[in-house]
Amino acid sequence: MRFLYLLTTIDRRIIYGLVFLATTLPFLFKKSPSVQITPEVEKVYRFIDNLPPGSRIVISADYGPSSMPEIQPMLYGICRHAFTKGHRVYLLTHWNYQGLIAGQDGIMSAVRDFNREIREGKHPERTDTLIEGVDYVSWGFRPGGVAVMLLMNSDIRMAFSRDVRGVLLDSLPAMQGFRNLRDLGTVENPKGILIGLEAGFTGDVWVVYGQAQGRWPMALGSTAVVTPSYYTYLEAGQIIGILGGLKGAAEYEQLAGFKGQASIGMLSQSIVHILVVVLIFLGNLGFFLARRK
Amino acid sequence: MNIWELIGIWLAALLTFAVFSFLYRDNPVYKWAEHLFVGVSAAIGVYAALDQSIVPAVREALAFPGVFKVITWIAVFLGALILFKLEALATYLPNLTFLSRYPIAFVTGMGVGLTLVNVVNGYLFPQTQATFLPLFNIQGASWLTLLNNWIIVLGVVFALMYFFFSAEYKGKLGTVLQIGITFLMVAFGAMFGYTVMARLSLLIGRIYFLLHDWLHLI
Repeated sequence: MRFLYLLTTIDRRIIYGLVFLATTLPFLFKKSPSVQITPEVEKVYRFIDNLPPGSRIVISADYGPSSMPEIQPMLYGICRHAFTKGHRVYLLTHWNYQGLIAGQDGIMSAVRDFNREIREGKHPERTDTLIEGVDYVSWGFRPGGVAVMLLMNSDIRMAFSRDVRGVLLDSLPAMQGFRNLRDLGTVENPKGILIGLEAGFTGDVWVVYGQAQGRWPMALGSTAVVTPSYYTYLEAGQIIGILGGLKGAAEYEQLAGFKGQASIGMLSQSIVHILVVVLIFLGNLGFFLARRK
Repeated sequence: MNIWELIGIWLAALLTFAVFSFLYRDNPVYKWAEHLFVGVSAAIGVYAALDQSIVPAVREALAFPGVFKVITWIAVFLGALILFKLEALATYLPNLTFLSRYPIAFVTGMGVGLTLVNVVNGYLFPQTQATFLPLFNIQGASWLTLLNNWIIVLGVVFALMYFFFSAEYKGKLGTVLQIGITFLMVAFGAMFGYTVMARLSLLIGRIYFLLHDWLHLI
């Protein structure tokens, strides 16, 4: 019985230590288990995969450095997939400097790695490396949130007249024929997609104020905390799919055919989840048995 | 890797340990890291607000022709009025503090107007429509689809009834409310599970940084 009592009074520092070990040690095995692909992630992947080359992938990076471990692998994976298929990527943020730091870091990592692979001859279909303004554009940040989304439905240049470097959008080849978000087409006749990478509730605003007006194809990638609230939009058919947390990012990496940071973290996540379940079970068992006594 | 990147990685690693030290107990190293974070964030925030928001927005809006330029100046003037809410100004000019209410009133009015139309069109209608699901004899549908439809419809009805506060929770209504609470608890459980997953993912991200970027072990 003393053992049962001890189960309910484990020092929190011991639990922290166990969680730390359960997270760290699996990394040293350098194994990344395959994950089960969920339909909501597969739909996003297939949608981008089936778009004609040169389609527009607009990514709204609405998160900051604190959410980068979960969302950055999504941004990286989607950018790489888009570049492989010959699509153009457009980046914006509603999260001021936080979103700029995270978004720019993600897209530039993908561009850097993809360009290296082109030089190594791993993408024989491409002869030239990715060029900013041609293959990808970073619109940056504009304050206003809802107002920016509504403006972009009528004219992107009313919200962003220049890119993040200060170059006029009209002078960029990637912006030719791209006036507003309605140019992304519809789910039935797609010419692109908007993907909101969200650490908060900007995704709700995108759906309610942006997608509902423009009816263009949209998907969301989010931290696990906010993912459950986004499933309502999936059920209602307002978005085509969701990438939920690190697991969603790992699924996307697996579909895209590479093992990135999310896939590497899956073994740690699985083991630490088991540890949490065992601790919850033991704690409750100790509590109930001690109470019966 | 250049020297500045190396310094950055070492600094980030040491600050990570400084913050983690709080898990053992509160200490001066953790406090120092916390204060450093707040100070740096505030400085970047002020710089970014000026550099990325205010200056470009005004500069670009002033480049618009004709009436847009007038509208921009009105917006800048309204925006400047909010400064009267600052404690430093409010202390010396308390009689002018009311001026800060005009931009707030403008933003509130615009927000309400936009919300009324868009939330009904973009949230209320599609979400309500999504609960109008067939419950019997769907051609080609599996039993799982039917089960899901029943759960969604009953879940919405019972959860809504839980928030019906005009009757005492007794008898049959009490049973219905218990089912409503059960649906809510399942939803909260799912959210809590996802939250645990999210927090552990952040830890995984930090450990990955330490082992990959700092120690080059993986």
